[in-house]
Amino acid sequence: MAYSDKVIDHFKNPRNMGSLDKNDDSVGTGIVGAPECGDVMKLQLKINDDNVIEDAKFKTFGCGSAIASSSLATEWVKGKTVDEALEIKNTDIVNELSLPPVKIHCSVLAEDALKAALADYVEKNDKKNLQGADKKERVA
Amino acid sequence: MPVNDSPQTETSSARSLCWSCRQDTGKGPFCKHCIKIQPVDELGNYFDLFDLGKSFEIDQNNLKKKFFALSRKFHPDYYSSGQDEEQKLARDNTAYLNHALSTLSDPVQRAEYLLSLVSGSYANSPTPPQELFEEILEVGELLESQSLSIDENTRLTHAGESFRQRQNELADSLAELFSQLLGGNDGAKGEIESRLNQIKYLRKTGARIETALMEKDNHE
Repeated sequence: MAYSDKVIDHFKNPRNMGSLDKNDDSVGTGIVGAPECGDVMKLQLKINDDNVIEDAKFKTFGCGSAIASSSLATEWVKGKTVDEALEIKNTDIVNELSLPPVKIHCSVLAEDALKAALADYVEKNDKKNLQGADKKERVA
Repeated sequence: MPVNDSPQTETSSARSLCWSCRQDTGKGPFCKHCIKIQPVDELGNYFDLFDLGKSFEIDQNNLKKKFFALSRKFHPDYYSSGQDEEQKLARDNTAYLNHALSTLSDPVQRAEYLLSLVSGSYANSPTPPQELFEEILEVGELLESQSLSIDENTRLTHAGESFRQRQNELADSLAELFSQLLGGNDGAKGEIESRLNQIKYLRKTGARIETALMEKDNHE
């Protein structure tokens, strides 16, 4: 199977590979996997008080398409708000990377990782908001 | 049963009548009246095909013996001068038989198949094993690096051994869980699914480690 040029580009020059501190309250972490192919993807987002994604990092153990999908996802979400990031669909990744049908699950994995990271951030900060009222006031 | 059902469904076996003599075929792979080959996929499941009880634990030698006996009986070469229907059934049965063997000889496939037989469908949505994911990502980093130090190479080798060992332990533990499930304890299903899920990750990652170590050996 031939990879598209864009997949090869992301694979050879992955954007935003690495890690953020998962214990940081402003960081949301999503780790997901696909048991059928054994691929594992970690996506982390650093989100500021205005709900804007300031930084994104990924680490993926998997095939070229899985690496490219997560690399592209991190590239796309930077500068977006949480709500905007939630709009990203796996089909957008499929189209951008011209993924063949057998590799669509890689894009699904990237969307799942993104959703999981956002959910982790929201959960962390809901807890924080419940704990201290001052944070709530600042938001309001 | 509705009264307006067609006559065929009134026979005791689930299978339709013999394609050749139009009589009840009985339960074997050959019609009990005219001895013509019959479609074995209508016999029930893979366990029935090999005359084995539904169980996760299978005597693999016995399975292979039965497989060879059946594959001799269905061998398409024997039917090369037979009717078109016989030739087709010989091919179909052989394909079905091969698939049955590969499903039942592999612990993961066997477990999934047995789960689908027992509880209708195989859901495959257990809680993701987060700790294992972290471990896999660490291994992934080692695999990506172009050259490994002796220490890293040792770590990778150990990880590979550990993955294989845990995979085997989990697979062995399925036998007991399946006997609980088959004994009517539906609660065992979730645990089986969760362990199966882990086995799959351990197996895939283990295979990648092995390939990587082999390639690195070849370069030296």
